Amino acid sequence: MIDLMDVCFSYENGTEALKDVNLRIDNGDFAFIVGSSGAGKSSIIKLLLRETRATSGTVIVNGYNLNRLKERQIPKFRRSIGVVFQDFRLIPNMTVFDNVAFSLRVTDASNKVIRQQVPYVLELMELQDKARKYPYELSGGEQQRVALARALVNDPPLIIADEPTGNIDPEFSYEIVEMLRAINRCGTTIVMVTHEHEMVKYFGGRTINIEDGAVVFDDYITGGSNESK
Amino acid sequence: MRASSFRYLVKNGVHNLWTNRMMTIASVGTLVACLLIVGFAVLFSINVDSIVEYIGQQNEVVVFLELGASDEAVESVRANLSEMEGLGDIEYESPEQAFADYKEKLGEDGYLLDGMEDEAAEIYPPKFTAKITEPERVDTLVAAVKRIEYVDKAEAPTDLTKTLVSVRTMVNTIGGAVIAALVLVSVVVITNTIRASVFTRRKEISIMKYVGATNTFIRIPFIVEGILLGIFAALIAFLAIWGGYALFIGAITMESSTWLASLTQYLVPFADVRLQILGGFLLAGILTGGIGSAFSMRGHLKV
Ligand SMILES: Nc1ncnc2c1ncn2[C@@H]1O[C@H](COP(=O)(O)OP(=O)(O)OP(=O)(O)O)[C@@H](O)[C@H]1O
Ligand SMILES: [Mg+2]
Repeated sequence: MIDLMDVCFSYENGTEALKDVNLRIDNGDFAFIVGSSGAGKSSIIKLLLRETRATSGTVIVNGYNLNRLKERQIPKFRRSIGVVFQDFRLIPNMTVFDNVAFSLRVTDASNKVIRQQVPYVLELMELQDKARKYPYELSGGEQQRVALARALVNDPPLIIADEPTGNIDPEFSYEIVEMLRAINRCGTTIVMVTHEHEMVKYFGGRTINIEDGAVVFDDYITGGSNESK
Repeated sequence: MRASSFRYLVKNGVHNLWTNRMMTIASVGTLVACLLIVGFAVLFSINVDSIVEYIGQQNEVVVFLELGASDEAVESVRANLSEMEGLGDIEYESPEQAFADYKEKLGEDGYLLDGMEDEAAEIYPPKFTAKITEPERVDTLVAAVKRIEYVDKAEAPTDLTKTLVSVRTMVNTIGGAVIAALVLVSVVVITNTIRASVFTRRKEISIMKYVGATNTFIRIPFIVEGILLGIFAALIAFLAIWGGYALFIGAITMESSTWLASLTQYLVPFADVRLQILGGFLLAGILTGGIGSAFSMRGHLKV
């Protein structure tokens, strides 16, 4: 569960990126965050990942009060979240298998668990043939699926995705979102930032519109407008 | 942490050495160069020390007592000398001994001295010979010996000793400064090399942080990498200095000039310092490598 209460956030140079944001995303939700460039979407994500701290207000994620989270507790907190970025952020000199396994390694998982879990999620993402390949040998869509597999392998209660489809072809974009929706149906909370209004209209669901650092729209919309696909 | 996780991290460190092999070669090369220069400086100064010490040990102060000094006087001087710091073994030569020696030296003509035995004490003063263990203090030692009661004369060859002592002081001072400077240079260079390697991998580090890796987890492979770099460099430098030293000694021994060749007997054989050098190199390599990587990580772990 995510709870933002009266959250303001300014960068060190004085840019006010978020102004008094109130937002609550319950367990099991699937929420799109949309808004024009520079609106503050990535800033919210940075707060949710405890990359930065709110200037004022309260941020609670997965039961952790991020205002009070100690530096030492950050790794443990981050393991409760799966993250997917626009630029994939795979470790270049590790194979697909090792990239996904890394997520388990940091939790001090045994080799046995790793040998079970990694092939399982790779198959889920239809990547079983790519396990020994390196990220540069994969297409954008495939790399993003590896990133998704890495986010999933710990079975986190929450997945946060910042423009996961920003760097891949539209046909694969829908595939990625479909996968996220399937994961969501199994109970995982998903927060996905996107530019692509067409896609949001197509899928529908909870849509949060941020403009100029504030929430201007937050409601469920019905999907199904299929014309763009 | 599980043993299997630790093994994984160590394996990662080894793997990184290979993945970043250009960086590895650069770091090892730098470290080898620094270790070699320091190693040769140390060897040079050890040898100068050894030569100075050897020659210093040949140094003696010869102490003559007053003619006809009593047995009590001799014992009192002996006690004074043995209490004096800076002097080693003391040998006594009685007038009778000196007389006998002289007589023997005359050989066939020795009979000329027959019957004069009783006058030995009037011809020869009692004499002590003391080794000098602190050649740098030879002047004060001789002066102090002269002040002892019943002592008539004290002599020591001071010129050579003084030159050698000043050479040693100079070599040690300059050598010490060179070593200190180089140690500093190596730490800086190694830290920078590893920092560059950390910098090229900062993205990787930040990704690891996003996935929830602790700082320790991220550090271990880098530290393993640094320590392995250090060990490689130490071994290479050790072999190089061993070979270099053997060549040097070989070249001097081959030298026809007797002056140089005679020097070899004072040189410290490599076998005597082998373990210390290997140990010193390994310690220095591991410390610079390990501390260097730990230091270079600072600032990159905050994401
Ligand atoms: N590191 C930073 N330092 C200072 N200001 C920043 C920083 N990052 C972003 N900003 C500013 O904060 C505001 C919000 O930026 P943010 O990255 O959250 O926008 P966004 O909604 O993610 O945009 P986009 O859709 O282009 O990714 C912008 O005005 C931006 O210029
Ligand atoms: Mg953004």
